[in-house]
Amino acid sequence: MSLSPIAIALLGVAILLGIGFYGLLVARNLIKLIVVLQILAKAAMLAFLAAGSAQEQMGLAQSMVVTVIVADTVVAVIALALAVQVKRRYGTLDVRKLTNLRG
Amino acid sequence: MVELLLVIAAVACAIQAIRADRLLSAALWLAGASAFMAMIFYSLGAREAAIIELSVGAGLVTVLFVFAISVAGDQSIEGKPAVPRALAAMLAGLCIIGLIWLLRDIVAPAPTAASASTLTTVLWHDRALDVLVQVALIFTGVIGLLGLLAEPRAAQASASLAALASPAVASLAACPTDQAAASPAACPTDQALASPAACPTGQAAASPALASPAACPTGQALASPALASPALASPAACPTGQAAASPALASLALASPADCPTDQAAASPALASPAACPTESVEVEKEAARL
Repeated sequence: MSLSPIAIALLGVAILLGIGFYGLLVARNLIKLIVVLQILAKAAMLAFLAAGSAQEQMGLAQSMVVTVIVADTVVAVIALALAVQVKRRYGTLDVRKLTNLRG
Repeated sequence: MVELLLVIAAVACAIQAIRADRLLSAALWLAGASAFMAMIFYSLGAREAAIIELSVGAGLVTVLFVFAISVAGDQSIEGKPAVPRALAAMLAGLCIIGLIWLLRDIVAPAPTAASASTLTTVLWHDRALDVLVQVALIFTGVIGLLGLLAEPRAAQASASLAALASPAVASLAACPTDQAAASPAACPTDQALASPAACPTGQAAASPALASPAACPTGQALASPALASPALASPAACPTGQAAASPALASLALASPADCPTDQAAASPALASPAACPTESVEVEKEAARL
């Protein structure tokens, strides 16, 4: 069994996306959710690079990846600041306790 | 097959990051996954992206996580998740299988030809707009971070702004904090004069009285009552803590907002309207006696 590096990278993308979705479903901590979002973003970057490597356009793929890294970092910063404010205001990071509106 | 080993290591780190109970270990496992991901990038030929991923993803983001965890606390949350774990695992497995089934055709061997365009030309010429948007994004992030991490003063400022912008004649007392006490011209202690200023818990309230209200959000805060203030509207906004506002005395202005943006400071721009927001109630009593 000899997989090409692109196939291996795509396999990693699939697995990372899967466990990222699993983490999104089961995580209850806000900061843990941000960690899971980072994992999902890493899977997206790997998918970009695998596609760029398959299409021989590594420059374009790398520029996309740089954009994703910047956006992902900004998202992490804002989300962590939000989590800190939630902790300050409500005293918990549990997403199931942050329900002001109960149906 | 070094790529396979790297992918396996990155996936293992990601799984550990999700499984970890403590947030700090989750952040460190995430850093490990990011480092392995950078190695995969490098082995795929994306050298610049690998460098950036290693420095930003494994370095900066980890520092941010550790900082946020040290601020917010590393409490472990026990209890059942929103979705049962078995169901979530089943859905994730379906997702993985579906993705592999979708991607099964793209297993072509890697091309050997070198890429014609390098990152530099693509990033700075073909996709210059992306760089511009990235810069805008970074500034947006900085502004958002400043707005979020500023002390609750920001909310108070907006509350006092709302008090200022409210229509006149109805005097207004904004008590945005939680345990706001209804203050009929003075706090629940004594000397209830006129000027009913209602501060129902949590939101701003408008008291329809002509006299100027006094807002006393919490405990020991005092407000010197409004002594014969013919002002049509004198909103006094005391958003936080033990701030107290002595509303306008004989204020001729139509609107004499006395807002207390911080805990101690007070500002009442009305004419001859002493406004005191001290921390202890003694000063307010003194001032009330003096008046």
